[in-house]
Amino acid sequence: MASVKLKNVYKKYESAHGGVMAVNDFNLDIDDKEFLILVGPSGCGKTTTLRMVAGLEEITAGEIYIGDKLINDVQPKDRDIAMVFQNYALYPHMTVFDNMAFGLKLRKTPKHEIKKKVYEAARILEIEHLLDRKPKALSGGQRQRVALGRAIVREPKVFLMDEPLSNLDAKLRVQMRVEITRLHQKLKTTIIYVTHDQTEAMTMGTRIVVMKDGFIQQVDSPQVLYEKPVNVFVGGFIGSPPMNFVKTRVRKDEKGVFLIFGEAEGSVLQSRAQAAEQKLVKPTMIYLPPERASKIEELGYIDKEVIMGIRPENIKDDPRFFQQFPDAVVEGVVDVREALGAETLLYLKISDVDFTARVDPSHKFKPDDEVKMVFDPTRLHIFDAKTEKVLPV
Amino acid sequence: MQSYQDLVHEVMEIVEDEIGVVDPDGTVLACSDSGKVGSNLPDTILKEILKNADKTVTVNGITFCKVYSGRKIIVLTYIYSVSETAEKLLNLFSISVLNYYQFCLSRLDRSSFFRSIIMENLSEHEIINRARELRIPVEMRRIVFHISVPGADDSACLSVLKNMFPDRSNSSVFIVNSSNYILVHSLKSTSKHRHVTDIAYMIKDNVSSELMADTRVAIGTESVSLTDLKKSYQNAVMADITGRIFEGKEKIADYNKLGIGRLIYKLPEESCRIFLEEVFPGETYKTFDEEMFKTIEGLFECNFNISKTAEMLFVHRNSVIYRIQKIQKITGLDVRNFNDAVIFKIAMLVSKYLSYIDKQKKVD
Repeated sequence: MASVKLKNVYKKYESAHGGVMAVNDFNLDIDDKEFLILVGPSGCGKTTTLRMVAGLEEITAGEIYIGDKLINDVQPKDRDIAMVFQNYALYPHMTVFDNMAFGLKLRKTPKHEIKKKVYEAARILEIEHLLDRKPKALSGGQRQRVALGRAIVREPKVFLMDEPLSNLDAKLRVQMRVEITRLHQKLKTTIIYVTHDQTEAMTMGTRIVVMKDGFIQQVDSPQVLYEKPVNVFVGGFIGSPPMNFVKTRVRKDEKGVFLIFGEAEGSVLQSRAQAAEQKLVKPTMIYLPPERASKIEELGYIDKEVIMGIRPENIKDDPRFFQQFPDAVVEGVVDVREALGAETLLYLKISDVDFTARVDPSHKFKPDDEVKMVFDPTRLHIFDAKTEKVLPV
Repeated sequence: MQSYQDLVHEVMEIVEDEIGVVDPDGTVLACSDSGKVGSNLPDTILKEILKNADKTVTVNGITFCKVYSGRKIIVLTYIYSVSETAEKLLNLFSISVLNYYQFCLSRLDRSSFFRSIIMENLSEHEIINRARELRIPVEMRRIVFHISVPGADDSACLSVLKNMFPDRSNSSVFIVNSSNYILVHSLKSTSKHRHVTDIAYMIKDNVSSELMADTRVAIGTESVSLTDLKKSYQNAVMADITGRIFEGKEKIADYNKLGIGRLIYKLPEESCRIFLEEVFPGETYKTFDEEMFKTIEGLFECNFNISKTAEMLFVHRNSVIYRIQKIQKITGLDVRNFNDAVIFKIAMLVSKYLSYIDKQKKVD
């Protein structure tokens, strides 16, 4: 087992116009036995990063270490890693045992060792009773476990997984998420896992790297990423339903500092009709708690534009919050109501801006109902409108 | 290379009687009267021969000889004569047929046959004859995959591929040259192209993980007959090259989805250079930064909708507008205008193509 270190790693794909930088100055220390997730939208460089660790992609600059060993020039097959991909294929004419043993046979591993390794992997995966079966006789989940078994028998220092669950149906994906997490606990090995699915990232990883355009945006535990996103992108990418964002202006009056949106002044109006309509919109104001108010004032944001972010569960309809934060009460209209059983999602129009709120299912809101909600001011995320970075308030 | 018909032609010079080769189902594979090739022996005669335990059987004035490989009858030989000499001649002919069959087995198994179709200039006649001898259906939906696995051990790679597609009657895998492999795969009549793409991804992922080697797969066109299999291979090779030029990062190249790269690849080099100089005099495009290229690609993907592009790129709408204006300042092309956008896109692809040509020239 081993740690992995990427130091100032770059990947540039050459082209006529000089190339496209797929990964930019990537620096990361992955601890031994860590379950690290690389997550981000398509084209953000997460798979390229994984492939560079595997050696399947040459690095343009930088250094990659496995343990203490610099592996830049080490052949992929000699890096002591195993990869699990999305489109695994089991050999149809071979038994589960032979499927798992195949890679070892190619490497000329002695027979007794192959047997030992296959039985051990089968025990870990709880598929010992399936060793004599052919792939046709296996369920989807069992096949996936055999595919994992083929990687496990190699006993690599590091497992690299590139969206291994993407091809599975929703139910099996949830099941396999748990299986892989359990496997990590059993194997106690380093896993680097790539996914574009933030739910997978949040539920499986001990640490998550959020990437965009080849740059690391934030590296932290799932909870910290969720609660303290460093920028608008991370805030919007992590969490489902995503964080609500609205451009607001910071104002100050005798009551304190507040964020306002839906005011006609300063809005970009594109037509007379829209302007006329806009005038009818009642602005929404949310007063900040004193401590946050003074910080934002200190930073010189009064009268400046900022982006306000709020998670759906922090738009409250609980009476306690109305009492606690009377200056953060907002009025809106229910657009759509989605009852999910354990919770209800309300799609609201507040000052003509769309918001999603996650509320208790006992509330029986209907479309077109006028509702009052509270934006929990202690849970607001405030970002600079230009840099989109979070403000330390 | 010989065929049963060639053998018959050679024997015809010394034997006056009609002589021929019939498969165990009764179809005439070769005959000194070439008009009979493809015709069928009457069922009653065939049954009588096969029922008889003797190696040599005489029916209706014809002497038949069963040619065995192990315990299996591979073909029947016959001579239109009944005499001791005729039987001797038929036995000698049968030995030649068996030798030829064994030669085929060693040199002309299915893979070698497919290899010959793809790599050699076999005539349509030769393809059909050999297919008949090897009992390979001529008319069938097939697709050629070109697989590149640089740096991997050839035998290990072949072993992985052959085990992925173990059904020899539907798939054939062989090596073209070091690092390049071909899979000829039969398709069911109901298979959709999506299935073909799935196979390509499966090959890429499986070979990569088994051998820890970078793997590229190019998909050729579907062929409905063995006689156009070579074309499918050529198209797979073209897909591989154009994929490398225009979509370098992608590991799967599909001939059916080469887009405009297909056209540019066929343009004369000189015309390309003149066109590029006309659009970007003095190679102005080389001053673009990455953000600008991403913006242009995003605009195309989002049908030139600036808001959607901004959303996709996770940037502000104004940033997209600023970048568009910058491009216009440098090139004079306003990519919000459809005509300019098309010219810009083609010019960028042409520049990629010329860059590939220049690289190739350096290698040569």
